[in-house]
Amino acid sequence: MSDAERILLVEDDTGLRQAILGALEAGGYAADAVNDGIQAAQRLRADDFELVLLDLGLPFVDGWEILAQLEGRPLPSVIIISARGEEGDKVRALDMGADDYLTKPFGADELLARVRAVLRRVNAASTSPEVVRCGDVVVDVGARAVSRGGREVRLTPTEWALLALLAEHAGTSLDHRTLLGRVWGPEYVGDRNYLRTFIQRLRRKLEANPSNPVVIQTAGQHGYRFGPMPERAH
Amino acid sequence: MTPQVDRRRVLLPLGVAILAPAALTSLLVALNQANTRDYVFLYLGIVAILGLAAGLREAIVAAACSFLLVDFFFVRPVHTFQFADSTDLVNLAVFFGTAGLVGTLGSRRRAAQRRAENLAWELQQANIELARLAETERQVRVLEETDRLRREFLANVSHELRTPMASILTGTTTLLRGQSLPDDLRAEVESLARESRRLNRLVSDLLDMTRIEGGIVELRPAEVDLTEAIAASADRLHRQSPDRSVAVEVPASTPEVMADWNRLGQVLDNLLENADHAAPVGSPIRVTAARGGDAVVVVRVIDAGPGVPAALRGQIFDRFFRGGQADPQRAAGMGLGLSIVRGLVEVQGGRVWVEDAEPMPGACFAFSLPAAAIGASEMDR
Repeated sequence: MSDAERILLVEDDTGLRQAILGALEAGGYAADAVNDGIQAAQRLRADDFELVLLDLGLPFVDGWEILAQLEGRPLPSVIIISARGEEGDKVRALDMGADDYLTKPFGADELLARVRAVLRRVNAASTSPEVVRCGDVVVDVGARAVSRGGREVRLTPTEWALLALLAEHAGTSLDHRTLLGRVWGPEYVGDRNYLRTFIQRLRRKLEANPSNPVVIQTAGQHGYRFGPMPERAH
Repeated sequence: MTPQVDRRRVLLPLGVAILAPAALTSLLVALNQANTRDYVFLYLGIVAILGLAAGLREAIVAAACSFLLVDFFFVRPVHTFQFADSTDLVNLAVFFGTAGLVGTLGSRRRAAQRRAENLAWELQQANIELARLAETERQVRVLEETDRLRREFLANVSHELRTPMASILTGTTTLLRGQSLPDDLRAEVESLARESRRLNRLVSDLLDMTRIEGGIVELRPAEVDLTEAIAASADRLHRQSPDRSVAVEVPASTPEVMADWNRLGQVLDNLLENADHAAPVGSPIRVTAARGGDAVVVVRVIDAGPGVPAALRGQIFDRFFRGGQADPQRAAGMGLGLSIVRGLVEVQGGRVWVEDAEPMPGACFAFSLPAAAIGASEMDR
C-alpha cells in the first residue's frame, strides 16, 4: 500500500462512521471522515483522495449529487456504502461512475476486501509497453493513457483496468468470466451486470456510435473484444 | 341486428306507405265523398307524417300511391287512370310535387333528429367513458401512491435497521481482526457479530417478503451460467459450513438460464442452507441442473436428511411455516426462507416444488427457470 492512498469516508451515522474509521485504521489506511454532503463536496475540492466511501442518504446534499459531481473524474474511485440494496440503485450508481456498491450491513473483512480491490485497480501498473489502436482510439497501456481523435479520454481506474485488459488482448475475444475475475475479482465471475454497465460506460466514452460499437465489440454470446478480429492469412 | 329484423324494419314502413293512402281512399269511397279532391290535403298529411316518421322513400311511395288512387277513384273519368280535365292532371302533379317536397322536408327533419339523437347518445357514452377513465386514473394514482409509500417505507426501514446493524457488525468484526482481544471477550464479540448477521438476515427476509408480496422485486435478468451460480453459492455455504461438501452435477450441454444473478444466488443460498441444516454431518449435498423441456432448466438440491413428509409438502413453501423443526437454530428463524425461494423463482418465470430424493432417502427441492434462448438477450451486447 502506498502512503499516497487517502480515503474519505462520507457517512452521517456517528456510530457507523466510527466503526468504519476503526476498520480502515485497523486495515492500515489513513482515512478522514465527514458527516454530510456539503462537507464532502468541500473536502473533495480541497484535497486529493484515491478513494471515497460514500453513503447515499446524506443531509443537505445527498450521495447521488456528490456522485454526479465526481462523474467523469478519474479519481477518486468511489465505493457506495448504502442500506438500499435494490438492484436499480446499484446499477444507477455504477452507471454514474461508482466503482463498487456495498450494501449495509457489512463486516470489516468484506469492507477491506472491496477497498483493496478498488485500490488495486487504482495502483495497477502495467508491464506492457504496448500501444494499441482501433480507428482514432489509441490506448497506451504502459502510460495508462487513452485518446480518441487525439484528445485525451479520462477513465476511472475500473474503466481503465477493463479497457487495458481488452487492449492487451486486442483482436482476441475475452469471455465474461475472465473479464469479471481479472478486473473485479473471483467473487464477481457471474455478475454480468457489473461488466455490462462498465462496457456501456467505456463505449459512451470511446465509440462514435455506442449502439454500433467498433472499438469494444461484442464477441458471440459470452465475451467482448477490443477492435476487429484479425484477418486470416490465406 | 338479425337480417330478419332488418327486413321487417324496411318492409313495415313501405307497407304503411301503401296501405295508409289505400285506407283513406276506402274511407272516402265508403263515405261517398264525390268531391274528394277537396280532401287531397288528407293525403298530403299522410305523406308528411310518413316523411317525418319513416323517411323520404316512404313519403314518395305514399305520394305515388295517393296520386294513383285519387286519379283512379276520384278523377273523371273515374275507375280509369285517364284525365278528362287537364286541370286535374296539373292539380295532381302539383299535389305529387308538394307531397315530394313535404316528404323531403320531413325526412330531412327526421334525419337531423336522428343525428341529434346519435350525437346525444355518443355524448352520453363519452361522458360515461370519461367518468370511467377518471375513476381508473384515480385508482392508478392511489396505487402509485401506495407503491411509492411502500417503497419509501422499505427504504426507511432498511436504512433505520441496517445502519445500526452495520455499526455493530463493522465494529465487532474490526475487533475480531485484531490479535489483542482476550479469549473470553473474543467469544462474546464473535457472538455479537454472529447475532447481528442473523438479525440482518431476518430483516432482509422480511423486507424481501414485503417486496415479493407487493410485486416490487427489482430484477436485472441476464444469461446466467448455472455452473457459475451454483459454484458461487456452494462457496458461500463453505464459508459458514466448511465441513459440508457440495457435489455439483451440471452437464456441459445444460443451457444458460435467464435470471437475476443476485436473486438466483439468494434462491440457491436458501436451498443450500436448508439442505445443510437437514443433512446429517458428513453427508454431501448434491446440486444438479439439467434441461427440463424445450424452454426450461431444472435445478435440484438434494440432501440425505429426513426428507419432507408428503403431508407437509403443500404447506412447506407458505410463509411463516416452520414445520416443527427440531433443530433450535432453525426454529429461531421465521419460516420465510422457502416462501422467499418460491417468490423469487416465480417472479423470474419459474416454479418450485419438493420431491423425494430417490433412490436414497432425503429431500429434493427443485426449481425451474426459463432457458436463455440463443441470441435472445440483448443485455450483454
